[in-house]
Amino acid sequence: MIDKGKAMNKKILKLLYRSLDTDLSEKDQKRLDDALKKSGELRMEKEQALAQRRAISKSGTQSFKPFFVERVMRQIQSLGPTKKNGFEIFYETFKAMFLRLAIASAVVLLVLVSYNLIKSDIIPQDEIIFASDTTMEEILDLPLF
Amino acid sequence: MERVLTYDKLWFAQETKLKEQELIANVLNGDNDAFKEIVKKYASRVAATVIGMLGHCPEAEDIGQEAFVRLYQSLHKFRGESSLATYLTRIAINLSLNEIRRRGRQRKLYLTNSEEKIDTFADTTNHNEQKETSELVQRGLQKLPVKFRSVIVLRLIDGYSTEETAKILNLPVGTVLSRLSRAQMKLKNILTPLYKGET
Repeated sequence: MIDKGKAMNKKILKLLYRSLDTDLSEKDQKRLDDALKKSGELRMEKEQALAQRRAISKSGTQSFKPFFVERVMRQIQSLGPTKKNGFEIFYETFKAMFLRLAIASAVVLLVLVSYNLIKSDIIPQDEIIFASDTTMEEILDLPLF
Repeated sequence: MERVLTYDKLWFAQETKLKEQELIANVLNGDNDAFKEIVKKYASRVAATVIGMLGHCPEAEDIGQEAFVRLYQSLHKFRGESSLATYLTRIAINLSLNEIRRRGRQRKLYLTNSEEKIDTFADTTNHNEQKETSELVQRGLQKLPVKFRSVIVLRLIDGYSTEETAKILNLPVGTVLSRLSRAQMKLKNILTPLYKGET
């Protein structure tokens, strides 16, 4: 019986602390409110939890030793300007050069596949993706529209 | 009224983002004064995160400096998907976690006791009540396991929402919520004897 009560208290305690950081479901909120009405101990726990949270927040007003900014800036100046590395520069140039070409190729391919699909009712899979014996000249000779 | 406040908040957030983008663009164009602005603006936030995670120690300042150096070096990769503060906090928390791991390895190697550090620090407390409470909380935080400490620091000290905390730590929101609850309960158990002077 005592164990059951303890487990219950633990659950309510969890709800209490959870309620300080998020909205509880209607059911849980009602359960917590009822428990708070009934138990003075729980109300005290809530007061203490809130006081603890205030104390933690206030303890966070921290600063480094004086002239921290100057020390950081000295380090920054020794580093030189922030730069992209060689790979990033290459990747971005490559992307800028070939992205449009890649999109255009994909569109052309899509148009050709769609054209072939529309043209004939049953086409073997390898012909859809131009994997048959068709030569490049034959592909290029295909009328687009 | 609430709608006006929300609008003001949105406008302010937009303004901040624009200013941030301008500062970043200036840094990328080689303007170091712009970066100095960033350091000035976020130094206390980084201090709160790093000192919250590591406690008052000489390494905390080094980690703080390193966080800004890393930010500077990776600024060109910053896409603006999160705020600069969140991006910087993520760097600071990761560096702090690395430092804690390194300490763990050193502790294993040299059997040093971090408890000693905490007690030494306690000797230097002044008698101002607020400071005393803050120091007790800081000591309590250092006794929390890292996974609980990090959610407390981000949520309650840095003031991030549970969603932002989850993003920074790369965890589901549910995990953050359950760690927050457990962390506060654990911290209460740690702090109660400290308040009673049972250190």
